[in-house]
Amino acid sequence: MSSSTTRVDRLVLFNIEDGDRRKFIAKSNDTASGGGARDLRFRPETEFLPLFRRMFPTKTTKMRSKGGVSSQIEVLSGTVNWYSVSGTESANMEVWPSTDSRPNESRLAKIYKYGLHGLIQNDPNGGRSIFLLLQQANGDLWLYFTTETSLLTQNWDPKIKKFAQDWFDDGCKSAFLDLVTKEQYPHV
Amino acid sequence: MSDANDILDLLENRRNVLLAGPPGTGKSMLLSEVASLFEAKGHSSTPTHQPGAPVPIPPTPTTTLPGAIGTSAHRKVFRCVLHQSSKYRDFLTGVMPDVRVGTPPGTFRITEGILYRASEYAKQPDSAALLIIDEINRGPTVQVFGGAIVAIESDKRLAPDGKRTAATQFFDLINPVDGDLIEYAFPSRLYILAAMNQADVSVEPLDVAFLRRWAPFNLEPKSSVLRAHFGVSATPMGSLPPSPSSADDVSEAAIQALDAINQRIALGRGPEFRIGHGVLMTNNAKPSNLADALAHFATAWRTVKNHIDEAFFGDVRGSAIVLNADRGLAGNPYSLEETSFGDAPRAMINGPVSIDASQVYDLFVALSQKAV
Repeated sequence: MSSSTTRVDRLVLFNIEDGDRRKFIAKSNDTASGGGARDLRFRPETEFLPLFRRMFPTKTTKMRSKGGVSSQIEVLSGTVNWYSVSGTESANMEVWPSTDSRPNESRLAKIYKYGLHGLIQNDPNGGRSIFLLLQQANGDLWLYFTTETSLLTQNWDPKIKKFAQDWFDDGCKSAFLDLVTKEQYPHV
Repeated sequence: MSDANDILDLLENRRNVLLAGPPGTGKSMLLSEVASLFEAKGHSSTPTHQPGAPVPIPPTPTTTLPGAIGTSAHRKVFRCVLHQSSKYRDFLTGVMPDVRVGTPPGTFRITEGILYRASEYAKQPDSAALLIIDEINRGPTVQVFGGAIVAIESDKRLAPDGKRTAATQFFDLINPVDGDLIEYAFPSRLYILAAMNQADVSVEPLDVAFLRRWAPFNLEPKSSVLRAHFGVSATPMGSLPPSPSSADDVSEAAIQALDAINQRIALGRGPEFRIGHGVLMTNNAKPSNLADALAHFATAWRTVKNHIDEAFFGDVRGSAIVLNADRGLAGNPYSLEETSFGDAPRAMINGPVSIDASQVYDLFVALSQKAV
């Protein structure tokens, strides 16, 4: 594979907290009802949704009903790859827009479906456990699990390290870096 | 090619580069630029995915960087400033009291100085280190390097594979690991970039034997940088308008004045005492109108005047010549007065302590006049 295709164009980092861990096995924080409790939520949507539109190439229109009222929503989807103990795996993942009850949150939906729970890494120094989603220049999406200690101390590309450090300094839940448009969240 | 790329080439060829130039010629900015390129933090860095690797986005060797710098997967910059209290142990290793919390009184520890740390980093596989030393002539430079002074030479280093060569120069060093005295040599991929200003009054000339081990890179005041910054084109000498009608008129007058001042400083005190173009570019400001320009250059003039006063301290006639105060030029607020102290002849410069915006253009026109 040439370096021009494996060049990283976009990167999303997400801090996996205890409540998020349960989403990977379809257990709500409070109930077993599922729903939003099974999605990874990215906020603010005003920042993340434009990025996800660049990362997930397929757009479909679906109906969402609440309180007997149906409405059309745009769902983004794309094939995401990852490594597990059995080798390379992939699945079609979807990004759903915010709901009335959770405004301004885009969702990486139904994360429990992919058997990722066992891949979550615990930080050896008590730091953040991190979900990492990257997009290569050829459009391929890959997800990884890493830790705060790894991003700060291991041999990551200097741009990625700097981006991670800025994110840790800010303290927000999730972050992205678009190396094509030069956009970054949180803003620095 | 930019100065930063030229320096990287020089570092690759000679390993040690000494950047010198008058104040305000952009040394600090250049150091930062080289550091950024070396670590590929600038646009040259292209993060690349290595699928399945323990670190899936490791540093990418930057092919635009020269030689071993570019082929090293791991690059790190170490920065320090030399000062009068700098010691050998701050650079290499040495014994010092251990005052860290929880350490019993009377305990000593062995320091790992910045040159030692940079060297150890560069000794790791596929790694290169750049040590940046600013103000290298502001401290006891030769003492700080000690026995390492010969070992830093490019042909006295270890081979790229870490093995000794017939020319490798070893020196004694206290090993921070066990406190034993060991023979130590520097790795091939250790690069040292130092910067100095030869004209500061608080510095001393560097030892010639020390200087010989560095590739020089000299910076000069450049009118062209100022014209590009302020967006003005050169006006023939002596054709400045009698009064300014735009910010460009003031900028061009300031540039011509600085150029003429530097010519006179070089004659009277030496080229190393000239003042760099950066003095007129404070805060990277670019005046948008006439009033802003007059205010901006009136402020900048204070720094120029202080520099002249410092460079010609005790030499009133020298200051007067640089300020064109001996020529009775119209519009020049400075004038040389011949007087006496008892029977002894004396000279003094009359003029305002500071120049305000309404005076600055006439001053620059007067300063820009060159003796024929």
